[in-house]
Amino acid sequence: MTTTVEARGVLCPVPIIRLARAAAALPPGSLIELLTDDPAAEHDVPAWCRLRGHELLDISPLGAGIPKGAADPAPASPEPRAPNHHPGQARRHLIRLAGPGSGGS
Amino acid sequence: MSRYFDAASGLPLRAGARAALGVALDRGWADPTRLHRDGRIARQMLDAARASVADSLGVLPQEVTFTSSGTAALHSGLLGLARAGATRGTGVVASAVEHSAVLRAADWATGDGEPVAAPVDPHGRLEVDAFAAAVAAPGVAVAAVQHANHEVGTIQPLGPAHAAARAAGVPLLVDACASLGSLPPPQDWDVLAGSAHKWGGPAGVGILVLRSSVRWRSPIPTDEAGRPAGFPDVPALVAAATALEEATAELAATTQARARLSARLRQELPRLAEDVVALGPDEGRAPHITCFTVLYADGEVLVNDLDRAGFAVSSGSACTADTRRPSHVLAAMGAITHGNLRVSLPPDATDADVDDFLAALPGAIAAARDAGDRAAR
Repeated sequence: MTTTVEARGVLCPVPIIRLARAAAALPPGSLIELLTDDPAAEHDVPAWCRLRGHELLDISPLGAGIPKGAADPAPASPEPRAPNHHPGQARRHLIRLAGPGSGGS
Repeated sequence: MSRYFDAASGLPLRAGARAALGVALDRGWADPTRLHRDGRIARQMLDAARASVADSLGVLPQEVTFTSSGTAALHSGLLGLARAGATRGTGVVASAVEHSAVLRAADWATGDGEPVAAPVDPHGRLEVDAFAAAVAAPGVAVAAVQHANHEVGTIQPLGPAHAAARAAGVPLLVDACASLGSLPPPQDWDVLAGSAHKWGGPAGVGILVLRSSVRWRSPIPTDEAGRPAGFPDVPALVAAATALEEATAELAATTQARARLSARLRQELPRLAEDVVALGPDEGRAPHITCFTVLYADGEVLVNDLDRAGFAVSSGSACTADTRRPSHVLAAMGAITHGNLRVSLPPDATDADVDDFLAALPGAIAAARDAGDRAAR
């Protein structure tokens, strides 16, 4: 089973905070998919996974251009877009969590 | 209480430079190219300033050119090398962690092509083998490597880099803006650039140093004698030279003192809260620059909280940048780009300053993380 973390429409550090929060609540070896259009996440997701020993299995684009969910938040991401948020390409990051005690704070 | 820990962005004018500026404003105001008495006085002041900078750097006076900023020196240095080397091609190789002024000039010089970004290791140190291979490729006219990184403080392996560039017959531009006045001047370069307000001189003064042996052609029009066109700001140049003299005279003491305080920061800051990481190597650092990742904190909130507590610091996180793009330096290192904190100490920083800063940090970090937590709900 894969846990989805919705972080489209929000900027750093929020996607990583949500990712770390989800990781802390899941057992080792769990799969998480993080959806984000924050340009900084392109660097921070791989860097965070390296730091925590998690495995970044895949990064794939979510459709072309700005996804509907980010431009017009669906129920899955109900918050209004942050001011100054210029979304980049929305991406899905698939992460397998490492062993116990490495889930972040 | 106010503590200024953003020395890498710029320093206030040194006392000696302020005094020299006052004298030069009174006496050195005339056109130094004129033959009359007032012109000759300005000329003498300009020549003395050039000789003083040359002496501080261990170069010849005729190798020193003054520019209107460190950025202008980098632009002129890189584009002038590209112009002189145009018969080789338009290729530029620059480390991936160069200042954006270098990268912008590299983009400009390569036209329709792309500059080659030489990779760095996770500490931000140039991968010399990859750099050597890149400069040896056909069509490369210019190479650029900084002395010390402006965000993380990593000192680059200029000896091996210069040897590799020389073996390929490619001139090396060294950006010493972050290090001059804080480290002994580097020796391994063909063209060197510096910025006066980072060593306690006035803003609006840069230096471009061209080895007599290097081929460089001004990328912008010069006067009829080949000198930079325009009426020079002689008083500012005098002040810049005086500040560099002062910084150089104090260098042994300030280097040791700041390296010790920076080592304290690197050791103690990560213990103040969970998930705080010091960036860059333990050895081979500029003595005044330290850089940290505070995970799960917003860099902008952290900078503002610390400002309210009386401490001036900076951040390379995307949220603090006009572009909303994270620091290309942190990205090239593979480091986390959010929650970034750069602490750069002025020459007169003390243990008491660092004590006060360390005491203020846990509260600021907790507040920035609370703000992040609320935003992530």
